[in-house]
Amino acid sequence: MRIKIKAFGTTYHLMRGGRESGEFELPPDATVEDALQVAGIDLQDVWITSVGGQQVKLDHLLKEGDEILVFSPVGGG
Amino acid sequence: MPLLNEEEIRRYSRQIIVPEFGVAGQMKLGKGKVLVVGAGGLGSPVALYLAAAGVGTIGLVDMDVVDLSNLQRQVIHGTGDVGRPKVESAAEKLRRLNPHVYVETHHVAFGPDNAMDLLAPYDVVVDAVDNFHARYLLHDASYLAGKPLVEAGVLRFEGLMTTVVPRKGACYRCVFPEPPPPGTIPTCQEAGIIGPIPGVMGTLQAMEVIKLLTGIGETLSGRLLIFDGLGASFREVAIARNPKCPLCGEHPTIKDLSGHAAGWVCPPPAPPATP
Repeated sequence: MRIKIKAFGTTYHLMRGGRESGEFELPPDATVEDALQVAGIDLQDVWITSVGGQQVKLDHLLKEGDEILVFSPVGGG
Repeated sequence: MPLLNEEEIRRYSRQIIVPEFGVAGQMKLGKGKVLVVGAGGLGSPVALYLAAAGVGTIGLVDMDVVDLSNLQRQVIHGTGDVGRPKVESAAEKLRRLNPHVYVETHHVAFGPDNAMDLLAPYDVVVDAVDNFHARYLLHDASYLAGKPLVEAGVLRFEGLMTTVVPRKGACYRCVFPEPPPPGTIPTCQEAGIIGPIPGVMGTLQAMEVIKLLTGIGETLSGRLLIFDGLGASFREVAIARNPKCPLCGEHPTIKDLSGHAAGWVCPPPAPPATP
């Protein structure tokens, strides 16, 4: 299945290739954690993840077409 | 309760004629006391819009002076203000904009020793600070004082905000329990910031304050709002209270501000690399 990932805050440059968004091919029953690993995002840098407007945990099961939003806090003012 | 005079009715007429707001909303703003911590990129639009709208008392906290590099986004200050304390420069603009507003300036570092005293007189607190140390301190102090906090942060092309209403919605620590270790998250002076981003987020913060003071509409309590300036899009994430939250959870470990270090100052930026 194909899913999208969009990174915000300071995680933006952490995706493989320095990208801040991308589409990835994953096997069925893949989790958010699987997707982040495929995208090359270090879990230590991930503060919260969201799918469908809801905060989800790393073991959340994905489905075709899901978009994962990955956030780290931004502290500037 | 004093009624609005003729000049005030004319000044605020465009918002008074909005039925949900009306004279009652105007009177509530007039009685409102709002503390804006940080007179920079976020604090500029927040303070300007709140003063223009007729919020009765606006407190400004900032220990910095205006720097030339501030002016691409900190629109309350002008070129002639470089070198002046930000709170002085900002207060002058607010008084010029609306002499009905009482502006209180606090040219001090916001720290654990003065946080509770600074917050005490105010109804609503606005987080317009530029570093995580101050952000977590302000958040904890506002929560412990029982004051609603309108929280926002910006970086590069992005802004992120929420409103924390103590003991009602999720707090910042429900989502981000501990601040990142110093040096791991870049600041605006390190990673950069496009001027209109704090303009957008600060303006949204002013709208949150108006709703909190007047009781109209729905605040961002329980929601994170993310503005992606580059993609021109807003996203929203529902956030729930975390029972394990160290501040507002079932067994809180943060009961005062003693865990916050005093005297922390944002380190100066490294000089730009020469090509």
